[in-house]
Amino acid sequence: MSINSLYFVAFVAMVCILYYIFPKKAKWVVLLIASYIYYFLASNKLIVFLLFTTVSIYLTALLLGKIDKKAKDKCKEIEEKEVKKKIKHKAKTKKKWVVFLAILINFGFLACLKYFNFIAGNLNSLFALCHFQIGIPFQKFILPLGISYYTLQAVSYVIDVYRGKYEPDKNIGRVALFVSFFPQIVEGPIGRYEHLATQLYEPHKFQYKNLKFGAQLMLWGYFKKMVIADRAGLFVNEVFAHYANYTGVTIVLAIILYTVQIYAEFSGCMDIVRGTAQMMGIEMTENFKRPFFSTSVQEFWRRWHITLGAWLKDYIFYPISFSKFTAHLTNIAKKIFRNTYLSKLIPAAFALFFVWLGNGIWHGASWKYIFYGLYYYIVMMIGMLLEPLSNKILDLLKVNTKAFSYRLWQMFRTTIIVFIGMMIFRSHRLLDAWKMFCSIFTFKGIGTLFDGSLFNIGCIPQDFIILIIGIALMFVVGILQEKGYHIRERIAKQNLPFRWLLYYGAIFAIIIFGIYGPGYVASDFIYGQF
Amino acid sequence: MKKLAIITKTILFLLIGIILFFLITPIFIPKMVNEKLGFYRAIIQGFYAEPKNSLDVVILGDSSVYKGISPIKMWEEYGFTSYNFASPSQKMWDNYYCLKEVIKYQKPKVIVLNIDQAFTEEPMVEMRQRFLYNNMPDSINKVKAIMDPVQKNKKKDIATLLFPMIRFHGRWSELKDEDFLLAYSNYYYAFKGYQMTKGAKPYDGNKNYMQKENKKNKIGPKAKEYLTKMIETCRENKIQLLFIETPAPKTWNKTKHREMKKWAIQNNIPFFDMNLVTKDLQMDWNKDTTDKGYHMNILGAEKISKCLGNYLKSQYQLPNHKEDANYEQWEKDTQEYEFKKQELYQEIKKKGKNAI
Repeated sequence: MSINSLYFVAFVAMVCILYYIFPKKAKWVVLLIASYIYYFLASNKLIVFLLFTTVSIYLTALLLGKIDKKAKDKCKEIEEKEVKKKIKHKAKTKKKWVVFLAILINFGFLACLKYFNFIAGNLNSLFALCHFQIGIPFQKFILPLGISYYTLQAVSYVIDVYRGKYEPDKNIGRVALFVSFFPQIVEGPIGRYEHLATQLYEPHKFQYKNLKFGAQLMLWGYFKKMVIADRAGLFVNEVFAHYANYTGVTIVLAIILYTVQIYAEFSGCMDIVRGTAQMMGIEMTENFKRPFFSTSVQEFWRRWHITLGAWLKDYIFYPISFSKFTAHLTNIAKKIFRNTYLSKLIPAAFALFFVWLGNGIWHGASWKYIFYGLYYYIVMMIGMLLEPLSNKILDLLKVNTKAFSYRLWQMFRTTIIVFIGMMIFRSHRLLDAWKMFCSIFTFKGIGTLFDGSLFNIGCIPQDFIILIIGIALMFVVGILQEKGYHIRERIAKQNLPFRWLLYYGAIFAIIIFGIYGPGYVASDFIYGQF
Repeated sequence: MKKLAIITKTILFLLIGIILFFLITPIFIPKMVNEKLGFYRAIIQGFYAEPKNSLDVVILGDSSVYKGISPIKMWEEYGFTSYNFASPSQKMWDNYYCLKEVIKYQKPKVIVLNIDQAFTEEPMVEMRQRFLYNNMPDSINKVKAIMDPVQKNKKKDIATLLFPMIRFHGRWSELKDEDFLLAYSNYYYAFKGYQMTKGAKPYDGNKNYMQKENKKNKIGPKAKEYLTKMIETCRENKIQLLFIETPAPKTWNKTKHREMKKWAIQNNIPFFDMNLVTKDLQMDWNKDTTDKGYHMNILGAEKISKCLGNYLKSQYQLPNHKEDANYEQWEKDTQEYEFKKQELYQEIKKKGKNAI
């Protein structure tokens, strides 16, 4: 049951009706059953992985709670501080091992299913290089739906319980719902227990506004996915599959359109997910905040796939930053560079390396994804290293960094960096990305923009018109949102004929201009693969 | 009160949406009313455009019918009205649902059924079902036909057949004036379901094909089931049913004739096999077929129509409406038919005999 199918819409409608019909206490059970039905329909037997993750984190959290309680009870009985300290330390070590084991098992599954062949392939190459007669056979694993998303979400729960952020939940059903909530399980957003769980368990009263706003958000998401993203995909797929047949200009256009495609698709999917949840009164975390208005790469990643960035920050960046090793590294850096900018940069650079490595690895089992993560790391590091110098130059040249024109330049610069990143991300292999990148500078075939040959690559002129209108619409909506306009609130204030005209316009734009049905092979959501 | 207003608004919104959806759908369905796309829409919709209860005979079947029988020719010769309700590879179950549609709009005295497809049990492929059902107005019969398990339609096929927008929405970029003009009215087809066909590719196979046997040729259980249903429906509606087989040297043989005759006798249905009278028809296999014996061109179709018309006139008490002012349109249609025919003949004269 794909999220952009009529079945999904019908499923959501049914769940909504049941959710509001059922009594308060049973509302979250409706969501749990619906989520498991949804997952079973999509993944069949592979539901066991989801069950395993749920049970394992549930038990781990309980065990962590028990260890804590036991230690606290013991401490109450004892007066000596030293003994208390020892008990606490022992408990902490025990908890560390328990949480480590839980993370290892859950990430172990993910690693085994997602990365086995990648690791085996690289090891085989290494063995061959060393003339060892060993070959690890490749395995045909089927990846359970949304495993990359729900594993991160589940692990965050265990770590937070370990950190004492909240008490472990004693109800396995509620933990199961937190991990499996159906709108978000395929592509996120990666929710946090403290934000999502309470909302899931709380019974929400029927509110027409929620239903209306949720449906509107879904509609906007479907428009982005089916009209813009899938249409751009027609051109993009052809050029990336046979990039050698095309000249620089076409490749540049394909890269731009791929960026449009992935943004419209992923953010569209998030709108559908958030809209679905909102219909039942659940507010989910935003995963995108107009990323193309970013003035730096750092800002871009604070606006793009926000929940992944936040996860990496909380569970990779901070633990590494506050680790003993980093503290040691900071001391060494201070000794060498004294209290300079560089001495502060080194520990941050160390922690950030793992963040971006993790980002790359999470996206897929391939060197190109690892490089994709490290590409942003390198760009950021160069930026951070040159920051003092560039600030000096800007001062010297008396550049008004607060002027709109300067912000525009920053946005342009960031977008170009993102385009290159997207090219790496979409290419089949790293080598292909490099060849494509080189071909941009051949400056051949500017004529393709004018001789009509552009219209033989998956998209006809009318498709380009729809794309231009769609992109312009996304841009206008983005500007309005940046300015703090609540578009849906504004629409709600309009008269009924205007509102309905707008809704029907959107619905029929999707029905007519959407890429779906046997006439087209609607591409699956790109981020569902991760 | 507020709840009631919300419910009313929601229902109204959905209702208007559904109506709009069904209103725009016909715009997107390809208008198959020309030689480039075929005349499938013209043939099917033309039936519905005929005045109610104005047809004496309706002929059901596959391409052998719409390429091989000319109702205008039969009108010219014998004065009764008829129509070909046919589409490519139309199977017995499709014929049954077409019959159901026929009796909703017409009270024919005779239903003529070309039984070529009685020897196949496989349904039409989805694309061919489209030629028939996408051009048929929405009705319970249509829904039943599409959803009948005999069609072996997958869920997505059912969805696209019932809601053609799923398949054709992509035509938005190629819509022409005719897509809007022909969207909401049934196309009037002056040739009454006959697709005038030119071009002659001689049949160079065995001229004595009616001596050929093929033991594999059997009327299957599904075909029998729907044939029986058709017999019952005709009896209930007091319509006489006639089985025919138009000359088809490529696909017909002695075994099929024997099997069909046996089954027809068992069920007390007359069977007129024109393959037995090809000599009387003076069929010229060098000139009369358009594709080496599979289908007829205009020459072959006129011969067959004259013969079938004569048979129908002699066996059933069919009226002659020639003097009836209510049937003036048929005379106008005949003029159009003759004009088109002359055009074809001119073409033959210009390009030589093989041009036809």
